Amino acid sequence: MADREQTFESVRDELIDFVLENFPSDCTADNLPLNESLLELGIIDSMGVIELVEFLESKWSIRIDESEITHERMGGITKMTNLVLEKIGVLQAGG
Amino acid sequence: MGGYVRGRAALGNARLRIVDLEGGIQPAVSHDPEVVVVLNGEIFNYLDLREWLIARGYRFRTRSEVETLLRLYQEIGEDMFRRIDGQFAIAIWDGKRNKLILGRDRVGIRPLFWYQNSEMLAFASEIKALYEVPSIRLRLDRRSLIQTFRFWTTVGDTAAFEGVHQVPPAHYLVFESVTKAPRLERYWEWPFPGDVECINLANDDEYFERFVQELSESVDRQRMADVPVASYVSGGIDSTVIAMCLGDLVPGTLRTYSVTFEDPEYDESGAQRLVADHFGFEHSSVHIRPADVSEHFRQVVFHAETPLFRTAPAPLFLLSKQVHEDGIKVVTTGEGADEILLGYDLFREVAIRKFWARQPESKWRGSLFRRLYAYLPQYRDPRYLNLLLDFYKGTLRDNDDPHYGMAVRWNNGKALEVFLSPDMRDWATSYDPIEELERWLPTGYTEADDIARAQYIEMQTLLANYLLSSQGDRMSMAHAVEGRYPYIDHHFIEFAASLPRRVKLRGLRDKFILRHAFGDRIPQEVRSRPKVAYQAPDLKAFFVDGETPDYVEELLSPERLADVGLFDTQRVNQLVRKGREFKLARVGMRDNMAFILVLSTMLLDDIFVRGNRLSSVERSSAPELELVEV
Repeated sequence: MADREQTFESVRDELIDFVLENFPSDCTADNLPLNESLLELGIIDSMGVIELVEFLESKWSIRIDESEITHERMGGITKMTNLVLEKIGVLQAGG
Repeated sequence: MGGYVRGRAALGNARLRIVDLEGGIQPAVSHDPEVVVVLNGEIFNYLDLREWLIARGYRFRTRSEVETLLRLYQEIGEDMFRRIDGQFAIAIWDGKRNKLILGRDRVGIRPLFWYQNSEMLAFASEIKALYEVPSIRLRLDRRSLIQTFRFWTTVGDTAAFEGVHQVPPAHYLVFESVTKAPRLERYWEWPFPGDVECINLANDDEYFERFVQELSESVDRQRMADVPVASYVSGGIDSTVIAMCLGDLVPGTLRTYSVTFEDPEYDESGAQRLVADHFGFEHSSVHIRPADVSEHFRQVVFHAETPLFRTAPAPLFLLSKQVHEDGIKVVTTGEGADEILLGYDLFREVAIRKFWARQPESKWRGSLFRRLYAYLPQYRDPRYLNLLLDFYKGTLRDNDDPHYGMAVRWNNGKALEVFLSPDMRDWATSYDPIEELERWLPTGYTEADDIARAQYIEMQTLLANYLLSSQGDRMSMAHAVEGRYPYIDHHFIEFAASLPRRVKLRGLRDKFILRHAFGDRIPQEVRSRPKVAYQAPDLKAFFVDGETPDYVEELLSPERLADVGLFDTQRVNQLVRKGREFKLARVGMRDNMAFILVLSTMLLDDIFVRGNRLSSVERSSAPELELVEV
């Protein structure tokens, strides 16, 4: 369980770093909303979606399916972190 | 070049010589009473007006447009603007009434700027002439920056520098004193669908026939010149139709021109070749490498004189150089068809959002977004579509927003303000560019529907201040080449406005009438080709093989950025780093726009505020004007 939490935090933090580094906004590591869609927050534009997906896929060597590139699975840092964990086998699908 | 100086008034002109090559000396001067006129541009109906004036007893010394304007002013005064067809910036000095009038064409093809302080009033076609006035010290106008971030261009009478105004399209100004504010008069208005009587014909074929006739007449009016006229051909339907109509009217083989790109993402050479071969045009093209864009961007900004959000003017700057070297002074283009015939994806986006908003649960309605922006990878690739649809779904609720069609774009623009310095952002909290834009909207706007409103805003911003200006007249005139724009001949605009919408936007098929009116004369591949937005490499062009031009390094250095004070040094730095390290095939629009806006603004500061502007190349295209006492 502790491992899972550690992995969750490390994936989430890497994701936060990537977003802050690549998509300048007024958000910082302390106040970036974790449960809201980056597109709706205006932090990324439509092309940013591609950059994010390509980052997730290359960073963690995973493949994200068309059916997963949705608000439900990717609308926010937490959701994306869970998606990555699921793909790398740390989290059960739907968990 | 000619000039007039008398008492406190001075007017001058550098002429391109397209009509009445020998006789059209400027200014045109009448001594009793004293009236002086200078013109930058073309008056397409001047021969008709000349005949009308002769019938009323006027005698002419030349066959020039400018003398016709002078007599027309003597006959009907300020009302003259309603009577003239063309692309123009006109200044009239009425010595007897001590009055200066500055007028500009209906759509904003020809530039016209003015500046006033407690001692003097100055006007010019280009800001670089005002720069030469000793008592004028240019400083960047913060409003222009916020406007361009939000709308992609300035609005109303704003120019890039404090105290410098542009005469808005379709307006004239009357100065009755050097120091008092002028009276602003609008002499023409873009017609909203409710303002004009709809043409009602029996079937599509009748509309097609009428359309062909009206457009051919417009091309005929717009080709007026005593020198050969060539045509720009992009490979799309808009310019193909214009070139074909022009080819029908001129003797011999029509010369056509295009830009091609090393980067296949932007290149349309296949389509251009197809058009040229099909019609037998004598075609030439200029091949653009990414480095060509960055190498010439400084000159591009020098000529555009306003912040730019794209580099796309740069290839056209290089194209007009080639055209000039070939001895051609006049080219037609397809500019304006997307605005008047509803070609932009933006209009279809509005239509889909409205349609989907009525049944937000319908997956099928949402999936229509698939048919938009076919030239953007995030729309083309079905992988990313679901997330985009989720995003659009969130925008469906803003139904009562008066600028519904523009909301997505403007929100993206607002998000770019994170690149502004804390001081600028602080200032921007008390400045609302939308209020400024709304000051210039006519009453018809509120009554119009969302598509007509989006159309109006596109015409006032992107078309007038970017496509016709930064990417149009300013780039062609940099090499003494004049653009002609048959789609926005005002008679044709009025005709297009009176067509029922269904012949322009048929379901989701854009520019329906243009694609079908000429039938088989246009190759099927061209007719069915989806809209491709003309663009050039932006951010990427400044980081080719890890190399950045020296001027970019200098202007975007933390020291210079801090000194200018408009941008957030750290965030611009982030953007530069992203440019250096970027690995994807295509950069996002937001990064591209932010980078080009910052760089072009820093160039404006360097060139026009710091005065580091006149390399020998730049000076060669900015001739000295000698004024002579009359």
